[in-house]
Amino acid sequence: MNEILKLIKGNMRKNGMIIALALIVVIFQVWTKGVLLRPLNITNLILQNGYILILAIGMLPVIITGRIDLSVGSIVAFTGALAAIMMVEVQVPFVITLIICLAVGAAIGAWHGMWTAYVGIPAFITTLSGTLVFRGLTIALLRGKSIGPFNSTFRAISMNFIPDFIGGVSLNMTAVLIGILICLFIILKELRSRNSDLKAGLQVVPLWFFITKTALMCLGVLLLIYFLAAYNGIPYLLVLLVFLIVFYTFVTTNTVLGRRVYAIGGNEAAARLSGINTKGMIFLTNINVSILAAVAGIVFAARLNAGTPRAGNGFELDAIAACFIGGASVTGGSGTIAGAVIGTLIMGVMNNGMSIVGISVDIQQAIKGLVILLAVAIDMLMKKRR
Amino acid sequence: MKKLVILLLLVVLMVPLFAGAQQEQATKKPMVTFLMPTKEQPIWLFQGDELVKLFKEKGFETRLEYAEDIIERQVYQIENAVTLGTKYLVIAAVDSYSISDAVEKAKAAGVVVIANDRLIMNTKAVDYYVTFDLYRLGQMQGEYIERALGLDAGKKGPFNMEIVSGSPDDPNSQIFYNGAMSVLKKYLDAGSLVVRSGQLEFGVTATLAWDTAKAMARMDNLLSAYYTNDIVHAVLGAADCVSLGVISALTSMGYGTAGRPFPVVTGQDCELTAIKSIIEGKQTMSVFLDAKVLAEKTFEIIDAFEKGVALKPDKMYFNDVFDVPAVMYEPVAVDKDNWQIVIDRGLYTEADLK
Repeated sequence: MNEILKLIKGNMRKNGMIIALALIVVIFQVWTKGVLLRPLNITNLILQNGYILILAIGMLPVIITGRIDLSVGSIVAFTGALAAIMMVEVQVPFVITLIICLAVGAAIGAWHGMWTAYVGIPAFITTLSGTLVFRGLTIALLRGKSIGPFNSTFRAISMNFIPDFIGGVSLNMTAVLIGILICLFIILKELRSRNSDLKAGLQVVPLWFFITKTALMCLGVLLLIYFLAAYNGIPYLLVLLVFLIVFYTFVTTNTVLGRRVYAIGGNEAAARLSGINTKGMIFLTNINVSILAAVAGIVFAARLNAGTPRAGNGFELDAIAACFIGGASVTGGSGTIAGAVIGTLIMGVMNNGMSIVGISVDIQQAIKGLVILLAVAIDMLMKKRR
Repeated sequence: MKKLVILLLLVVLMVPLFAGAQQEQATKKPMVTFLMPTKEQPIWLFQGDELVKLFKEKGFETRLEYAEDIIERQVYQIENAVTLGTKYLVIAAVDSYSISDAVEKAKAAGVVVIANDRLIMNTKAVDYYVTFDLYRLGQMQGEYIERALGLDAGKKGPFNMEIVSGSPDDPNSQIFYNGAMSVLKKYLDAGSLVVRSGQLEFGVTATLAWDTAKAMARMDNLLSAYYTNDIVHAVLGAADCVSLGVISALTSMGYGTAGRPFPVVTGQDCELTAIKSIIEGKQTMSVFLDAKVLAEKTFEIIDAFEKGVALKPDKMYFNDVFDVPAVMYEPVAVDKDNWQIVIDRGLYTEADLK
């Protein structure tokens, strides 16, 4: 028992946000009289917050390096507008539109990166300029109107689900199957890492603990799959999100590239002197966040089924809030993808829950602001304790 | 360990999860959800209150939500309404082109979708449309200018007019413009009415998001560019919110004095500031859209659906995919002679207008 408590306390910082999320889910589940965790609503939660999550994932490396990107909202609008013009007015095929939009995203990132990394202008200013420039270009491109609708392939990104190839029962069996496969994968991965730890002579947790923890991870996955299967199955958007989460978690924790980003955030001068190409890395984080903003722009345009002049307004603040709530440091050097995901979920559940309960939109906004402040304050207090 | 926290999380989650799952109460009353664009324009507050009042009286369960002019917020308000089991959705769209997917999901779940004021475009998932006669309203604004300047009595002018239209992403704006132009075009062609700035086309006169500040800035620029030696005699303002900006610009340019009388300024919605402005003699007219009548017409539609009878539409409106049946109510022109109507019909009280 003592052992467990010691382990919990030791990881209090990381756990803080998960506990906060759990608390918020419980509060709203009770407050909405059970509506929050209905399968339809869980699916809605994913669709409503998918694009913010994509932006948060892109924003995190930028924040780790101690910088910020204010332009992502306008990039979302711009790429959405571009996609609308290309697919609706010029009839460019879907795949080419996608490629062009991502390329434009990369180009915008390179533009910002050049000014920030190589000319040395503070990222705040460069991306502030970007916000205005690309918002203006969006409105100009759309001539002030909303342009749609898209064809069904495009809309599928935000609207459709993996079809049930098995069928027959009311639960989406393909989703269940995928869930079972994921569980097997998790079990194997945990076993392998435990075995390699044992071989290297490292201390491992007691076997009963290992089994419980692995069982719980699988239970969590199966629970989510059950919720999704009870409605329409796994949305394509979730596949994209999981891919991005897994990919970026791997890059940030297991690659030299990721290490370097953290190093720059921790102490930029030291990083540069130890041979890291800091300018190149900053340049890269800018391209990365802008490409992801382009992806979010496409996802968002698919959700609204139109390119709109006011798209993306305020998205950068949501993405930044998600990263900080998830534990990123304001001065840079720390922050995790998992944290960004939890931060997005905390805000998403609050938005969704408050809307269902019927809290007036103006009060909702005030509450959100307070929660962001409290979340970061609690996080900082916990850090001080260490 | 982090995993133990996940344990706690799941255990704690289980309890309310199953508690919540059992609560499938069968409410006798059908639910109507009213979705409005924003609280910033009083017309939506008026409509929201009247709709909720009437439908509660008639035995419906009601929900009312505002989206602060944020499109994605309205999208998830639609989604949440479906999750909560609403039978009817009455939506005044923030952006008529961006909610087609959301209403299609609602339709697929069996909800009856009714568009209020702004027609939902690009989808078959709209069952009915309740609105005032948009074209007629535009005509009323044009006719008012025609009468006030004496153009219909044969005065040749030439009179200077500027046009400040509504938001380009609101399909209603184009209809108001077209209605007004149908009345004023002959005078523009004959030269008795002149747009000095040359900004005649809808696109160039539109005001994004119906924003007062944008309208004011544009009017400022028009006045300084084209009216240093001339005066403007009329401004075709699409609605009170943009006309408010126009009037601010005119006032700061010295209009409202003996040498520079205020031009004829039109509007719609009968916002409080506009009524006060009309009484003061700055804005010339507005259009009253009676929310009580809107509520009655909306009830006609929903009642017909409840009883399963077909309702004969007043007009069909094309939403770029199909013709949507519509029920309409009459707009009423309001100026300094008959503004009392806003008190009589309950929009404002005597105290409001002090």
